[in-house]
Amino acid sequence: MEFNIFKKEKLPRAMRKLISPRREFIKNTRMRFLAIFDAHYHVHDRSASPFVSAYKIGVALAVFVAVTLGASVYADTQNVPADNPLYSLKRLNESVQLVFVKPENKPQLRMRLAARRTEEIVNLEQEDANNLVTTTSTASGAGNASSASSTSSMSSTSSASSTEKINNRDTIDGSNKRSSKKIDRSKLISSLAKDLHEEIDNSVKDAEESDLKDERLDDFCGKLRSTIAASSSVIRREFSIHSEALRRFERKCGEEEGSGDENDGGDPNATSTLDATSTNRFRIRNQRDGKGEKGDEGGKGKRFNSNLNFESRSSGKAGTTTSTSSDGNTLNVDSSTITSASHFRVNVNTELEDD
Amino acid sequence: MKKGDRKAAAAIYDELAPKVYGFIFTRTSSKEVAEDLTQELFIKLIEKIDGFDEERGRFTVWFWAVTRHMLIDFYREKKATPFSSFTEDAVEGMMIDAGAPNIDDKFRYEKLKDFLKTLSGDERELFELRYVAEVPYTEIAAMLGKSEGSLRVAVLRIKGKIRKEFKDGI
Repeated sequence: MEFNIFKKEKLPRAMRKLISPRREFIKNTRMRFLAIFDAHYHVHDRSASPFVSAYKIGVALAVFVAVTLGASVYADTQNVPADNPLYSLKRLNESVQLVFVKPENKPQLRMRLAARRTEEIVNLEQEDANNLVTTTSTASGAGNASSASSTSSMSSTSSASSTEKINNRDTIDGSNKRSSKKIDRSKLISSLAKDLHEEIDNSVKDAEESDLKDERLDDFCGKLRSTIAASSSVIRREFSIHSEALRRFERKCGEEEGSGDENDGGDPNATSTLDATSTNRFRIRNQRDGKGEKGDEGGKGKRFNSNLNFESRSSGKAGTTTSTSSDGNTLNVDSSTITSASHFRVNVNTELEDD
Repeated sequence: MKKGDRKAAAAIYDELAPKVYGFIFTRTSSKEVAEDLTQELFIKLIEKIDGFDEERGRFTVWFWAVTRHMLIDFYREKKATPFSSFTEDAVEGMMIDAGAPNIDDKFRYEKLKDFLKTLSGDERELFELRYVAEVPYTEIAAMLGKSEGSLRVAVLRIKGKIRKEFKDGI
């Protein structure tokens, strides 16, 4: 098609090409022009600045972190199952929570995570059980069909037999896939059980370190009990292998719950040290080297004599008082006989006598 | 650009540099001179941009006026040949530089070159501004201090001559 100079009022392309500058010239002149421009106006090429590059990297990183964080929060709030692609993000979120949680709340959080692991394991086992039922029914169905066809047409053709072979091969392939999937899942379950064990172990460890008391300890022990109670056979097996955590759990929760109600019947004469606030009812905690049997029967029918050597922490006053308890378990002391200070340390010498 | 906008400066260069080169090249018939003057023009632009008053007219009008004055100064000093006086060697060089040593193109170019020789100085400049540099009528009018209507009439006259000369198309 001929170029129409009358319509466009410009030279034909071939002719324009003849009067076009070299690319190198245009490129080099542009660089020189902009360099002089920058020098004249004291501006910097922001795109070439290392700060801009760092800024861009920073923005990209921030976007990546935001997306990951968002996905991990979503995975955490939805409590995605262990075989979900977002599961690793959920675990990441849990790790972050563990980093930022207050030390006194850490044991409870660990118990919550342990409860999650339990739930995940139970779900996986349940799915496995369901799959097994489905597979068994499918396999028996196929077997029935095969036997039915063989009985109905004993003189089956070669094509029919080849179809049957293909079907059999498909069944074998399917069963291989299923068994490999089952192996993966059992690996996953055992990994989760290991994590669960670690969570409980660390939870007890954290509880010991943070010295939980009263409601917090009750809450912690309750959660620990329910986690163990809700656990499946796999978890119980884990605990039987790694029974250390269970022993520590019994020590921590069992002891604290019994404190104040127990008396060491086997070792009635001992020295206990306790801290007390402004109350006239002291509870002697078990600080007697663990000798003898624990139990509520130890003090019954006995008189509980004590010598209290006290020293006020705030005022520094010291003194001695004697008190007697008839139930053998709880020692009642009139705080006014000791000091008016609100916090003091008392050394208790106890002695059990026949009432 | 006047306020130090680097992006605006780059955009102006990208838009106008090839056209300026083409315009100067057609006027001087020398690749080296066209490159030198184009480069010089853009450096001058940075120095002179403060003298541009947007209330008095459009930037492109001012820019092409600067280009024309620079060329006039160049003619005074060098007495360079305009587009219509290209030598055979210059055209050959252009062909090689453009990477298209096409016989037809060369033939058409020779024909156009001969045709432009028949135009007056004003007509040739108008042709080069409108057809080579592709400057709009309004800006040419502002640059040359003529009315847009008279320029259109002048271009129509040039077109008539082209039609007569190039019956088979350019």
